[in-house]
Amino acid sequence: MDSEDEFMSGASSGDDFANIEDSDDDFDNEDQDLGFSQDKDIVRTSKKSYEVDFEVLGPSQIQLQQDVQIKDVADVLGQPPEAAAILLRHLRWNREKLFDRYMENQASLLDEVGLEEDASHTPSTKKIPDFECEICMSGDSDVETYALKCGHRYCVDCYTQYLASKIRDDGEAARIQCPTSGCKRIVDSKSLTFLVEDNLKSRYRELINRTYVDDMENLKWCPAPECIYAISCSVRKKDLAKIVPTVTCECKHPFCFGCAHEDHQPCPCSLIKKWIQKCEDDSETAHWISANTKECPKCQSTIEKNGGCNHMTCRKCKHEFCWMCMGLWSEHGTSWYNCNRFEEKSGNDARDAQAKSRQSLERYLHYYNRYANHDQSNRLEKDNFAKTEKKMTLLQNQSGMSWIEVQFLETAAKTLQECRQTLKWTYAFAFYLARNNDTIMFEDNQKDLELATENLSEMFEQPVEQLSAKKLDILNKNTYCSQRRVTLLSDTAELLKRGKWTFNISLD
Amino acid sequence: MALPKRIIKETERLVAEPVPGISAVPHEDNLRYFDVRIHGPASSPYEGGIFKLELFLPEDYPMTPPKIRFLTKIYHPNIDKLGRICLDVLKSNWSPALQIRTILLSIQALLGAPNPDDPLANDVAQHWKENVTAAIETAKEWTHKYATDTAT
Ligand SMILES: [Zn+2]
Ligand SMILES: [Zn+2]
Ligand SMILES: [Zn+2]
Ligand SMILES: [Zn+2]
Repeated sequence: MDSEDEFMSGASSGDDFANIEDSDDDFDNEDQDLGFSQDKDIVRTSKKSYEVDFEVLGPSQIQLQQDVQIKDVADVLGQPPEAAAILLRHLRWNREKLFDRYMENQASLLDEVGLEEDASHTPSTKKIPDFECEICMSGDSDVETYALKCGHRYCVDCYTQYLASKIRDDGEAARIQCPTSGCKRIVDSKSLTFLVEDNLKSRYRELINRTYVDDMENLKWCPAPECIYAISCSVRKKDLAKIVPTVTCECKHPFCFGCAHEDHQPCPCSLIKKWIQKCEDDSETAHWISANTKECPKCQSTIEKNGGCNHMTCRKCKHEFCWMCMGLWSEHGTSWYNCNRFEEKSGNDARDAQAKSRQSLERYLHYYNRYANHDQSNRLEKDNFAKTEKKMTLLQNQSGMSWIEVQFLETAAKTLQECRQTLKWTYAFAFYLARNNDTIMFEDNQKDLELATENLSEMFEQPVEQLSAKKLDILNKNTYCSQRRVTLLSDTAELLKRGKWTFNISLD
Repeated sequence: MALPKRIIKETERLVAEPVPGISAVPHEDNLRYFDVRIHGPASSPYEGGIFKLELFLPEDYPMTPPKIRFLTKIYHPNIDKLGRICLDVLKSNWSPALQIRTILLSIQALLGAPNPDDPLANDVAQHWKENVTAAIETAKEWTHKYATDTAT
């Protein structure tokens, strides 16, 4: 591969490697511009203020990035690639640190990772007269023992078992320490290959690969179960007070690059962490709220919520009310939709300390109630995905529409889910938001999105026979919902970027 | 079914050379299960108390740490309502070269030096940080109330 040297010189820092997207095939192409500007995925048209640039990496791309760095370091240090790989892993792929340490004291660094200059050194076991192993508390003069350079010696069986348990059960690989408590000596890869049983070697290799992504600040594994992709994104920890970096994996899973939690826009990472902690701490108090049943405010008969819509109609007395605030539904649809805002009580009560603590609980419950409600609706709507498919089939049969023509239902289901997800986190955000002129805009945006979402949800849950006539309405409402969501996210992200929000808690 | 030699030896040594202020006695019907008593260290809020714990050696002990829990109620920032203990050597810093004896000594030391910055019981840790004197007072009360009845 003649082009490789050219490629190396073009790539000057670790961060640049993250942007390499070309497949192995392109790699040999001399004329290919390996600068990173033309990357298809990175350049997006009309990026919104809440979107971040990112790239999805598959296993071969992750491998390629490592190989490139290993070769580069091997060339600079004049070491074989295997040694460069060990050094890079040991120093968590921090090349600057590696070069510094290498220049400072080459011998001690090589020794530390078990790459002593005496390359002929091969690990071997030893018999020690009257040996007693501290792990199995047995032994004698014939038992084979092993020790790293630190001299902490154990019988080979125990050593092997120890490494197996670290690799198999704890998922450790590149930085397993000597079994002695407090000894920081790393088990070098020669010793590992020497001691570990063959059946664990492939697991070891896999783990070694995983640590590369774990060690790189610009890479994160997709947290979806069994997912093999990693995401590359330039957002750093220090940026997280100004941006909520939601990324979407190849597997379609959207998550936060900052904290690997589910997509929690518009609420910053540090706030969702505090919020989740608070909800856990207060869960006993708040538990009743998340219950699936409520009493009809008019006739007191028990009503179960079984869809995502908040418009409840009591089966018994036909009373129509809002699930969230229990107020009359008629007041919601036509007039002032007042369900999203907690009216601060007059300062009068505040003098009384007890009233104050009750008020702070009420305030929390107000936001928690709405947060939990959207969370629950979202879950129900997720279950409804299978039902949506059934609905689509049914509608096809009843109306004679084609499969393509009934796709609007799937689109609506997806929009509902996205909007609920966003709404849910707007309440955590609002809980920590200190009042200023911009909070009114935020609450208006929230209110608009909530109303639109409830409308769409209600249309969506109509009996199938009414759906074909409502197709246009649903499509229009769907578009409107998406627009409201984009507006809310854009406005909120814009002010976050500019540091315009004030919170009643510190953002770190 | 056979008990590893290591467990037999450890148990023998615990009996032959007991640690002052600590006892660990295996159940007759399950030699991996120990009844543990730790005396609260002198000049700590737990002084004068005798704390009961249960200790279990899992199948892959000593590759994995013993499972251990306070049975006596205790007011301590690193011990939660269920008696679970936040101690590094019981988790990531466990080493198979450590023993029951060393672990129990670490727990005794934890009683002498609570660490509210690495809390398991959040509310207790909060109390400890905001008002050390009052927190220590509560710990003393609890010791008196729950840990001094040695009859059982
Ligand atoms: Zn041994
Ligand atoms: Zn050692
Ligand atoms: Zn994924
Ligand atoms: Zn996050």
